[in-house]
Amino acid sequence: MITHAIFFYFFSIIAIFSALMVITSRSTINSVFFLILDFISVGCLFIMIGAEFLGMILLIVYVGAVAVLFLFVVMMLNVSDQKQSWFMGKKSTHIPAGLLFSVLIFLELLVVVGGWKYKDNLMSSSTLNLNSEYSNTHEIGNVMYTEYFLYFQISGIILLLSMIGAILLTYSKRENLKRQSYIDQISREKLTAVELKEVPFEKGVKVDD
Amino acid sequence: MIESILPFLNQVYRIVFVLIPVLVSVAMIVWFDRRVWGLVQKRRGPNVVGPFGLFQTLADALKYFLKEIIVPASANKIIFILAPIITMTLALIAWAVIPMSENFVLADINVGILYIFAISSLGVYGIIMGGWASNSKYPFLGAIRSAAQMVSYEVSIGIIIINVLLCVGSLNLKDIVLAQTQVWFVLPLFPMFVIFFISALAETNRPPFDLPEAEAELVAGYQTEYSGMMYAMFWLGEYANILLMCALGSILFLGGWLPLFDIAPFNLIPSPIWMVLKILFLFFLFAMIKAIVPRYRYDQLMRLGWKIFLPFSLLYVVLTASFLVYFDLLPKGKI
Amino acid sequence: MKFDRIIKTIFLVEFIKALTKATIEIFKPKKTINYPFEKGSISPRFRGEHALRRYPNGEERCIACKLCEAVCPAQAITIESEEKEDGSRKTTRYDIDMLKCIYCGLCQESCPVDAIVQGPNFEFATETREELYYNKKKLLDNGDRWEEVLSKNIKLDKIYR
Repeated sequence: MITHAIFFYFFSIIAIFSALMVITSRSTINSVFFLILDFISVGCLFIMIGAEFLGMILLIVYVGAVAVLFLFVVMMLNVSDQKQSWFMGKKSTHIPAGLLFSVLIFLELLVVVGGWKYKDNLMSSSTLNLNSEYSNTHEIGNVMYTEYFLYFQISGIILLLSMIGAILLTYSKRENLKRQSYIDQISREKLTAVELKEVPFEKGVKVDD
Repeated sequence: MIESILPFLNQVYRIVFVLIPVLVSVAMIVWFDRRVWGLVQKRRGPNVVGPFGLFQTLADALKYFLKEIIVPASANKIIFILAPIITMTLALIAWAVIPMSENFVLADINVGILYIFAISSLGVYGIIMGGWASNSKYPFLGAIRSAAQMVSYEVSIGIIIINVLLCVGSLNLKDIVLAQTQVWFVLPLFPMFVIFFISALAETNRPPFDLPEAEAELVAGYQTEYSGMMYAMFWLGEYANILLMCALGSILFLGGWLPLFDIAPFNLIPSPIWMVLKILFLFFLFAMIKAIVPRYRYDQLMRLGWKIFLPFSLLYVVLTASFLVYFDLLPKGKI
Repeated sequence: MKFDRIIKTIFLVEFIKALTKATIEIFKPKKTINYPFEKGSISPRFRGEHALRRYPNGEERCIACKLCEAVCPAQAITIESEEKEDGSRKTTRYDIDMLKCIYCGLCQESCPVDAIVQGPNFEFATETREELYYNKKKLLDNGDRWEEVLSKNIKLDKIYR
């Protein structure tokens, strides 16, 4: 049990530390790397409570895909070190807004936790009949594809719509543009690509007309 | 006191017992790769150091040890040094869940396939960190290319894995192999095997998809500024990744440690040897492709991943699922 | 796109063809030689490592005319000379900086007595730069070592001069 506690505190301290570093470090790139570290340690915490499926999915989706795109954006935009910092430099205008939002989120969390703790019928978890015989992957699948099938589908469609929307916003069909046809390029064969021509003396031959 | 330390020591022993063979086989596989490449081109390949030149890689590694490590003045030092370490570590820790036989596995976890998938999706960080921290044009371009390529092909590999999982009904690698006792998945899922193989080439930055280090245009890609042991670590991680992909391919499609036929001469060979043979076979294909296929153009690579492999493997998921449901062949699992 | 072309693309026909061809190539005899143990043949005109030759009676051929020093485009040769007791002019110093040398062979061609020649040896890599600053002793040693081949090469090449 002691080893369990040691590992728990290890990962949670790393998680909290890196979460703090995300908002305090001056270099944007470092922020992203600390965000990744945060994701990884949260994933480890998930695995520690026995939710290995969620932990792995967190790693694959957030660390393997989302954070790579974050890094991409930060690197491509060449965001230099932040001029405004929490501790030093000029006064930041983001801090009051950030504080306001964090207070709001804190209040919301209070409502959720309070409702869960003191008013049992506000949010019940009775539909989840946890059976330790199955692995939690099976359990998640069972619930997700039966009870919450509709919500699952709807969230998928929302994601698809947002993807299509993003593509539509950036896509502009330009006129007078030479486009390559991959099929033509790939399907060239020796027989059609090469042609032998008899060249008449002192007259030449016109190619490529 | 001793009782509390013993299990820990036992774990360390088992880890070393997996790690050392992997490192040694990486060295051998580099030699094999170069040798095959040479033989196809009617050259001899490395044949001087040791019997058949087997120790060539060890000699190279020794050379890398003795070389100076140069950190560019304008590089981000911490990330620059961290990048090869991350690449190598990630390539090695994924081997923890690879089963070499029914009992010969370091960590038999429930979500083994997801673990490997997660680790290999983390592998992009070593490259992207190295490319960015070098603070130079070619490494950065190489890293950008590599990251885009690896993220794209991860998607199609994920969907191919779903195909296999539909037939198995478990995320455990051992269960995946044992589900192939009747027939290896390479037969019913042959198109998926081909796509998996090509995606594995792209995922590990092997030719014909070695655009991140395309020497004609990018010097050496993300490795340009690296030297000495740090370069060797990148290189080791790369080959360990290739080996991992071969192992994954043989587990998912070629029946892991299962013998070719379950009759006398075949099932007498110990199962780890079957596994090694299958990995070697896949690696031989990797090496041959390096020798015979010219490099892809980058836009063709992206088109292949997103416009051909992704829709086709999604279609195959639908086909497999409908087939399994229609003939009532869905794996029952524990439910 | 033609139908057979589609079939070819989907079933990777070209790839399988290439794979079989390459697999067959593996077992064919090699086109390269096993270099450190086998060596390719070298033309008698090959311009390799320099050597200073002697007459059969042991006397140095070089008469310190300094034609090679003058002709050397890389100015790699340095010669100092003095008169011997018998009235002949001999070198006291004959240095070649092998790092400057471009192996053009002009010194060999300018030499009226075939003293400085470029031999067939091309494996004289060293671990330090200093070892490649050749002096008279080193060059004469080379001449003694390679004399047999050198004189044969000169004889073979004579008809073209």
